[in-house]
Amino acid sequence: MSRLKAPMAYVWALMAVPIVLATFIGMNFWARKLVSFTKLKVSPWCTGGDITSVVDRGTYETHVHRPVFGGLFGPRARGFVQVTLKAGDGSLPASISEEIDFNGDDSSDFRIDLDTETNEASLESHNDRVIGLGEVLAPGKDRVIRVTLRRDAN
Amino acid sequence: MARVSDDDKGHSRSLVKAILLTLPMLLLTGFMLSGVGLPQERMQQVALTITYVFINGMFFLMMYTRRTNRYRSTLFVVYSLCFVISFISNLVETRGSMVLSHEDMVQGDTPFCHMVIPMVIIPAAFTRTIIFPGSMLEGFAAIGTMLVLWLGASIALGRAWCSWGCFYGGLDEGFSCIAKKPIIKNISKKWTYLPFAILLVIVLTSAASLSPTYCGWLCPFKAVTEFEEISSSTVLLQTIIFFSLFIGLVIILPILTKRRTQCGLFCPIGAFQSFTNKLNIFDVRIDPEKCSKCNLCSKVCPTFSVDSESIDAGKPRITCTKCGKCVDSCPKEAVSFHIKGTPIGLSHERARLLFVYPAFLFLSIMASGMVFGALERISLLVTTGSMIR
Repeated sequence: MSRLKAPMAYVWALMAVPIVLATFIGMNFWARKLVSFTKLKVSPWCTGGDITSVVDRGTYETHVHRPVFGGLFGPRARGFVQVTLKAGDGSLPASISEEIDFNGDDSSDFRIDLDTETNEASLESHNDRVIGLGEVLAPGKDRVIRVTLRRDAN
Repeated sequence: MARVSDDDKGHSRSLVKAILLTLPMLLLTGFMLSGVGLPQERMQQVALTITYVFINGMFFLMMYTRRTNRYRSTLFVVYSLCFVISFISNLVETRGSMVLSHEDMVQGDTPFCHMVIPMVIIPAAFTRTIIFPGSMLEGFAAIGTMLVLWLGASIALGRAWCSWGCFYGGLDEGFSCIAKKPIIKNISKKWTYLPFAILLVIVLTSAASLSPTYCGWLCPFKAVTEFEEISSSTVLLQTIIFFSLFIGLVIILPILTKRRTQCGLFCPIGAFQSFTNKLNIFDVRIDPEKCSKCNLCSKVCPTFSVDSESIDAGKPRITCTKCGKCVDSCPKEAVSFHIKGTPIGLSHERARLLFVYPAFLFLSIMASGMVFGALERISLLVTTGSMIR
């Protein structure tokens, strides 16, 4: 075995050039394989989470995302729900008032009033899990609103 | 910076041998550069030719003089400078400024960089998510492609990534080359443990907060890439911290110490990358029979990886980035590149060649895109007065 050690080491050293070439030539291929194998996704704390419902308002769409609470070992006490107002071909209306049902019980959990020109928003809560308005962001023609939530004890 | 000195001539091999050894690199870099398609515009063709000649010129000099570090260092510094020029120009062109807004983050438009990798591992293992506001596969510097790049580099080169691949390392290396002699000479060994302490802190705080804390608070290279819009006193404080770290660790201390202080005394990804040296086949060895204990290797090591203890042990510390500076500077040729599992002291040049080919190939592929991009921007500046299209 000790006599084989040095030749094996040289073979392994020689493999470094093909490894470098394979890394660069197949970068996109390996990246897709890595992502599909590990099933990794970007954290919902960054993306806002999966979309659970889409309401078509004619000139724009309201996307309600799944509430985000996920922590390292389990859900956190506080999280948020993201509402994305997606502009269609034109821009969003100057003011928008939306009743949002984030838990799918067919009743409104909060109302958002948004001035899309100044990006000033106000929130009216109908659910005691709703704590307050988080961020209002304006990526391009769309608007993203994050509302801070308390986790349901149940 | 890269001229053949009388000292080098003493080690140089024949011109024909050097050309023959350069041929594989000429073919490989030519293949990699032409893989993305040859440009149609004359200015781009000139930029590509300069890039190709410059990169292979460095490799030829490495082969001819049998010196590794000087030419690696030249290309490495140019690569980092070109990265900064290309990256900032691209950002200003696509976003209008270097400012990263919350909107960019929500849209997943933040380029991923290797600095984030230690912080994403624990959350990825527990939540199957990457705590970074980028894109997994789409766009520039997607998370998946950067992870593959880092994995490939780690398997092939170990921590040599820090001297042959990292697009930031050349900045403090460049500043460390400015002064003729170091003004600060004695740095306590205790400081070399700081990157490991920072690594531990950022890994734990990132896992607890599910956000990359190093990017938010400490990364000095935000000063030359992108940074968050100052919209609160917290962001203002973060901005003051990272600018101070950049000025202190990447500019002032490297000039004063002639060492890569950011890489050797601060960088947590460098500390993390050190562990890949354990798995990698290439290392550096000090032959105790040839060593005269002059400590020159210890004095010149840019990342504080060689000290009297490591000289006695016959190898640098785990933090060695395989830059080759100690190998080149040893007057007794006691320090050499080595392949684990092979006898020490035999066939130095064989081991050096086996390491330098993949390492230089990695650096040349990374650098070629940046050098080409920067030359394109500079030519744009000369012809139109602006680097932005």
